[in-house]
Amino acid sequence: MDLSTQHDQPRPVPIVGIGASAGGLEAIEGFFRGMPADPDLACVIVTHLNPQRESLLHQIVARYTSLPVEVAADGVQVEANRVYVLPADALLSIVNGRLAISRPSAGRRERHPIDIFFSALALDRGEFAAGVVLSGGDGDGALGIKAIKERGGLTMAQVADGYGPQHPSMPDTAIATGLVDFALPAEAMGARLAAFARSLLVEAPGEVGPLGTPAAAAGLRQEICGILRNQVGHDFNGYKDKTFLRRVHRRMQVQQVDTLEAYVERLRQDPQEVGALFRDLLINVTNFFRDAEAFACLAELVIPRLFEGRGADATVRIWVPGCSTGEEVYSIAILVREHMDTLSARPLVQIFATDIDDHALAVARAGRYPEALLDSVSPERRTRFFESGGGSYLVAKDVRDLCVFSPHSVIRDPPFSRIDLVSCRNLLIYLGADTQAQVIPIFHYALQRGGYLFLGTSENVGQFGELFTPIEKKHRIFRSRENSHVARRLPLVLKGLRGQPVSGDQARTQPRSGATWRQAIESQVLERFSPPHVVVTRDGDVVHYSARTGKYLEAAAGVPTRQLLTLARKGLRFDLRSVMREAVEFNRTATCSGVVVEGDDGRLQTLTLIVDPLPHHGEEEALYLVLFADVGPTLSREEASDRAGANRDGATVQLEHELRDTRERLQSLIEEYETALEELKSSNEELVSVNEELQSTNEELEASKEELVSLNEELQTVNGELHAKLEALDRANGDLQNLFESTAVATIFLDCHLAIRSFTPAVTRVFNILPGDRGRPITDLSARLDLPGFVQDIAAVFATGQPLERSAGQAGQAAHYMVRLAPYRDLQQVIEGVVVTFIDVTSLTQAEAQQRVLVAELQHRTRNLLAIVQAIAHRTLGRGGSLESFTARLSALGRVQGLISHATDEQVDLAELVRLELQAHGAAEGRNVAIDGPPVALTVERVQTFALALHELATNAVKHGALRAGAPDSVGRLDIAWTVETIDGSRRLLLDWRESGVSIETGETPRGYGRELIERALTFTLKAQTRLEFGSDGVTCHIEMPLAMRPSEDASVTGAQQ
Amino acid sequence: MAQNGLLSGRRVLVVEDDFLIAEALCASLEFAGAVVVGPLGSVSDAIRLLRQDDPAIDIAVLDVDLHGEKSYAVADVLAERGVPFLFTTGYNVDAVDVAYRDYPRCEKPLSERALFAALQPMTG
Repeated sequence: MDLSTQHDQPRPVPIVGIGASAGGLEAIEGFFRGMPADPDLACVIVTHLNPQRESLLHQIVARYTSLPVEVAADGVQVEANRVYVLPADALLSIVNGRLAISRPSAGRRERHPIDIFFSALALDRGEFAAGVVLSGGDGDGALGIKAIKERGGLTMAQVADGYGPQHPSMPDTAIATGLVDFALPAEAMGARLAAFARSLLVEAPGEVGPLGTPAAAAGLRQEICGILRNQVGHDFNGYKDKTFLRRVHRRMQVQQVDTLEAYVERLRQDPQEVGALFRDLLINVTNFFRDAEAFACLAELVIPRLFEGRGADATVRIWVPGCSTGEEVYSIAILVREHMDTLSARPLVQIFATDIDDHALAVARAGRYPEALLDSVSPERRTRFFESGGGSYLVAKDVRDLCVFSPHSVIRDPPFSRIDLVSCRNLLIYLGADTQAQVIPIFHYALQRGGYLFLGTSENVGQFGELFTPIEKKHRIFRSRENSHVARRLPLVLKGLRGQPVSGDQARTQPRSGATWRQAIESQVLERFSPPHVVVTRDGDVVHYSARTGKYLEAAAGVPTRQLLTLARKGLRFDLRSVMREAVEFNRTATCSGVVVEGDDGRLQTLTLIVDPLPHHGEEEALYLVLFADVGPTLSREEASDRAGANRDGATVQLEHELRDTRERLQSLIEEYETALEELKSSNEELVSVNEELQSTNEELEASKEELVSLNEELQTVNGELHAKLEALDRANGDLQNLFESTAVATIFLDCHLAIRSFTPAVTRVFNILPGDRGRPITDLSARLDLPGFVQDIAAVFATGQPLERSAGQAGQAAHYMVRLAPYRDLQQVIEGVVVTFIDVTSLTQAEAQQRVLVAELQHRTRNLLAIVQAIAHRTLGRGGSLESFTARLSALGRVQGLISHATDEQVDLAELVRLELQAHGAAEGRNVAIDGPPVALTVERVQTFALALHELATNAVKHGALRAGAPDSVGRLDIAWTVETIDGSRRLLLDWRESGVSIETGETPRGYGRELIERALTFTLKAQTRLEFGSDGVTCHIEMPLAMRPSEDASVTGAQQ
Repeated sequence: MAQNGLLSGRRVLVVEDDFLIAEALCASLEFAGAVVVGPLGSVSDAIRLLRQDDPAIDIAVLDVDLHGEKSYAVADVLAERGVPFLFTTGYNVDAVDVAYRDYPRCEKPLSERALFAALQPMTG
């Protein structure tokens, strides 16, 4: 027990099979547009694909839906909310919820993959299957729909919604089977399918959830059965509960009714729904040998009798009206063939299978069925009568040869005749009662005397019991009554019969109007004083009797009849026939006088017969008035012979003479007639053989048409795919085009003859090129660049297949390009040309050059700096100076380097320099230090020397002057101020270093090297004039130094060095 | 020192824009016994001096870069006069104009040994 619960089946996933072919892409797109997210079902798409081509369908479908799309693979468990697509050159089937893929045998192409998958789906999933037939160009899917419907699944087909299926033939065929639950536009299907899936999930397995408790359901079931019995006269009480309720449930889904009660209410109000339910309940009878007992009965009781007493030259004719997709036809043909196998002399058998639906006929004619429809066919019959191939079964040729399929309407078209067996199963249930009443007599007409009628289990001959005798009541096999010559004629077709006032009854029931008086008088005159008369049809059936006709007509022995000639009294028939014929043939009044009729009492009456056609319009049946006008009174036999005898002698001789003449003429006429008959027979035979040839040609044509249609389907599919791919290509091309237009990289594509394939607009900077130059060799164009060895380079790329790079300059200009030549390879990696790319590296080249200059400059500065350090070391240490003052000077140099490194435009601000130097000596602007001056930019060249001078001043101030720290009397003050003046057109910096509050004893001016730096270095290097002296209370230093005209000019001087 | 008296009595023109370097150079030269003319800090000063008293210069030491100006003009005048000279420079050789690369050259910072090794042939 534990095991079984563990291995409990997972909840089955509803699977939707989607069949599409020509025009299918658009339909599939629409289908998925309408599909809600997470529909809780799986979709499997089956299309007609070319086996030689890789299909891109899954990529295309993936664009239409957010559900994951994958190519179906063998053994894959189908999961909800996924889409599976049939791969090319494969047949898809499904077993236990896993996809099964088989390869069609080589050379055999399966033309109905949709039928095959649908029927496998029906077998595997039952109620959890749904079939959707979308746009397509043949009849594939119709049989699959049948299988799904039969197993209780849901079926849908696409109908036009303004956009519609591009090729409606496939969905139309499916709809024509009458088994499609929903005929919807593709967009509307998704929602219905999702609802379908939901309703399945709600339903607890095993229980019929929405149908209420079993007890309540049973009661309502009774009610439904009652409604059905009343309306269609069929009792479904014997049906299995489960099957019955399942069908009812399906109708509830279709009608979107939630409870059984509501559905019963719907049935009460809607007779059409009753019909639909009735048909749904009866589904499953169109398969091969469905209702096996009935067919067995037919084979036993009827088929052998059809052949009884018929030799090889006889013909057995069978008619299957409403044959749909042909299963019934082939079932009968197989029975016939089986019986024929037992015969030595085999008559010719013709089975005429007719239907009004051309598409269904095409399916039937093809004779190819998926395996699922063959489950009632025994293995012996399968091997004997079917050829298996590519997942479907083809009916054997000797069976197909028996059958002739043609479009024909039982109701509209003239029926077949001299038929031995009419098999019409489950057509009548689709017809209304009055149409049924028309059809049964038609079958009677079509049948030979004693011919058989085979109906569906739920059908009957109704009120026409007089025409047929039941042979086997249960299986609805009837035999045409031999003795009933009443309707041994085609009942004058249907439309005519109905509207016509047939009898006096109807005339009498007509309401009287204002002119009734006159009518009453006229009718009385007619009744009392007109000769007795009858109205007959052209066949002689009496449709109206006047009063007092008893003298001329009497009831004949045997079956009651209305035939005038049968009713006429002796003596009247011969003349009546000839007069009738004359009147009918020439449509004029015919008369025959001197007719003698013998009454019951033996008295004779001479009378004149007048047959007068009644005026009629159009399609109404022609009617004839037959008048019996008495001439003279009735006579006894003697009186009559006396009266005749009076003029007999003279006339006799002449009469005999005439009689002889007439006989001779008759004889020659008979001979002529027989000759003509012979000729007719032989030409008939010729026609028959021509007909046979035509039929076989027709079949060949049908077969090639099938192939063409399926090829066309494939082409359409391929075309659709190509179209989608083309769109993708267009987009990619557009992207490339935009890349071309927008890129600044000059690129030329050359083919192997150096002709220009395409180029980017930037190429115009390199070559004198115009859009019209495509196709011209590149060597024809003049380049703006110096490209020595360009052609050789291209040749080298062709030879080696390796890309090449070189640089090129533009004559007389600074522009520099890097020219890159790369091989252009096609998809097979064959070098087809060269891609030449010109990358503008002008700025890069310039930057490189600049960098070189900068490095050189750096080198120069560093070396200079080292030289200065060397000089300072020389002077400071070499002359016994302190290491401290050396390092202090180096620090000052270092600070300047720091400033320089931050300098913008190679300029250093004077104030910043001053502050930095003071700061290094522990002094800051504020209480006793003031710095004042406009912004002055010093070039890097000058700043070094200047800084050293400042350093010396500051060092001195700290040691001996205003910045001396710790002195108790320190009231020292330092003012540094500068101005810029323009004298004689040159700018000069005037800087004053003024210390105050320094006592004479302690203060002193810089000495030695320090002083030298201030006075001489500034003078020499900067062309400055300096005045350094000890003033009244501290050191003052006045520096006057030329500045460059403009800061920018200074900078340009530096630039010019490069 | 070996250089003692190497340049004794020679009049050596020093063209160098940086005072400190010039000062150190001059000191070295004077130490070797030279009579230093200059130092001069610009091309125009140097040319003016040469025009004034040409025969008095025996040897010249030229900084290539003088406040951003190349001293080639001075070199030209010296060469024309047949005055031997050497370049001092902080630049690499490739920063020197091709036409002047053959002249003796000392790289900064100057080492005395290299300087005198370069000057030696000019004293002869």
